[in-house]
Amino acid sequence: MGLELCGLLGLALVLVLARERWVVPALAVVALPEGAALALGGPVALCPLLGPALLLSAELAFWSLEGARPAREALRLSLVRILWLLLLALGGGLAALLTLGLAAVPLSGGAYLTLCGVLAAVLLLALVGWAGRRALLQG
Amino acid sequence: MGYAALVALGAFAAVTLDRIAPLALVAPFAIWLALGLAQASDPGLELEGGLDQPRVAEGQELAWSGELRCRRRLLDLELRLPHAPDLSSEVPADRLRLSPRPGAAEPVSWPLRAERWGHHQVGPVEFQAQDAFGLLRYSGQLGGAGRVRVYPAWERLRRLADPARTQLFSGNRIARQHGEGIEFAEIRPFAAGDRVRRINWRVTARTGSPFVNDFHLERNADVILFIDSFAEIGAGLDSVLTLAVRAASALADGYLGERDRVGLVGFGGLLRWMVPGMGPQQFYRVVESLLDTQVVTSYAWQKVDVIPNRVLPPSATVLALTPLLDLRSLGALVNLHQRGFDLVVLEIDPERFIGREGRAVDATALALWKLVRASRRRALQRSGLLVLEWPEGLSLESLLAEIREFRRFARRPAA
Repeated sequence: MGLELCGLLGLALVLVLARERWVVPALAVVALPEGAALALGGPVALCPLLGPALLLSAELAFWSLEGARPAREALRLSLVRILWLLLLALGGGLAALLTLGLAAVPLSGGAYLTLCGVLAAVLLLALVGWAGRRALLQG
Repeated sequence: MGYAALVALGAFAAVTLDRIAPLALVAPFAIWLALGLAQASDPGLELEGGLDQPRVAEGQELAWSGELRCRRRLLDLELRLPHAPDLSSEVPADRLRLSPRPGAAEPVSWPLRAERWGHHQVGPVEFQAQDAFGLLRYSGQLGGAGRVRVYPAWERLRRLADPARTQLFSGNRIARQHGEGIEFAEIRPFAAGDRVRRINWRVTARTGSPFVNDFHLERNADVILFIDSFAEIGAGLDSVLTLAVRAASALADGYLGERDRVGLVGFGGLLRWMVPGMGPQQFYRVVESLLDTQVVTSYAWQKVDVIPNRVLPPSATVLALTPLLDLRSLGALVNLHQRGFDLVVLEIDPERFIGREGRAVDATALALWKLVRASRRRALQRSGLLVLEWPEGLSLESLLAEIREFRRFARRPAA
């Protein structure tokens, strides 16, 4: 509880000081006790709710630190962003649910399964690397 | 970057603790990151445009306008036009926010106002854009920089101070020498070579011997504008230099209108000069040269000896605009006077600009400073220079009238 409070205070301080780069670390401090509690036997079913909530908090925090703009002018833009944010939060929740669901499948270990896992991890790393490089080159 | 670290942390925790919860917790961030990175691509922004006028006068309006095209949809595009502080804009913080449609030309315009004379740079346009997820931010510059020349505002002078000496070229000034002209000078006895049409028949008939009418020649003069730019007091439009530049523009306009030749000497940390010339082109040359006038700090002892002779032709009239703040310019003025130039010093009173920035001025220091300037003024006057103070509220035209009056009534001291 104390750590969560520290994280919230840190987040408030980050928002007041408008330090964009400290938003994610502050959120990580808020989420750390929850993550630890879930990992050490807490109610895992809360993950699909907690993850999108953290994402929404982070995005709204970033949003609040962006340059202010007259509300009437930015109304359409704001609606588009809110829509995107909600859709992605929903998608994130579904992804968390899928992760939990896949983890709950009673599969026993073995060489093939381990190989599949290694291949999946390598593919994932390659995908992230490719997307990151593309973003760096074109962004 | 923060999201990537968070996802990595979640995955690491899931593997080390052998629990799926940390991974499920960061799954929304991973989805966000993957989608954002996958759709990252060059926004393909193109901006064509520039300033609508290459030169304006102080107080006039101009605009930077153009057309923006982008290849893909951007959620929030911010354009910023950097420009010199002497140009003002009605656009808040010079930032425009747009949501351009892909492929369509979006008109972009920044209305600007020229506040102060000078050469001012405008652009290049800087942009910042975000992708649809707000995950990637693009920034850079579009197009090139433009330059605008802002001419100083000057008063039109109806009457100028006549230069003491004229030159050899024909002009509008009545020379002391007699010859072919239209301004009557005197009647004198006929001499061999005089034209018959010049004979004054009435006087000839009365005296019995031939007399002719004599006329003054009409010649032009050389006027050199001497700008002292060693020191500056005030800022922006309320400054000694602005006043000097405006006065020099007015004088150049007036004397060139009288078909005189006008030259320029910028005497400061940077010594600049311009050979005297005539006509409207010379006016633009002088003003363009004045636009570069600025105070350059230098401790080098500048002398007028380095100025070529053709810049300071013999019998030229030198009109010096100085605040009498730097000893180097005083030395140069005395030097010019000793070389026989017809020199008039217009002393711009810098006191009016003191304290305008809101800084308190110590009364004792100000009194001492005034004494120093007064002693310098008297030293110049004792050397035989015509030094006229230009106080606040007095127009340049009135100052020129003072020069005319002084020349009319002044008597040279006995040698």
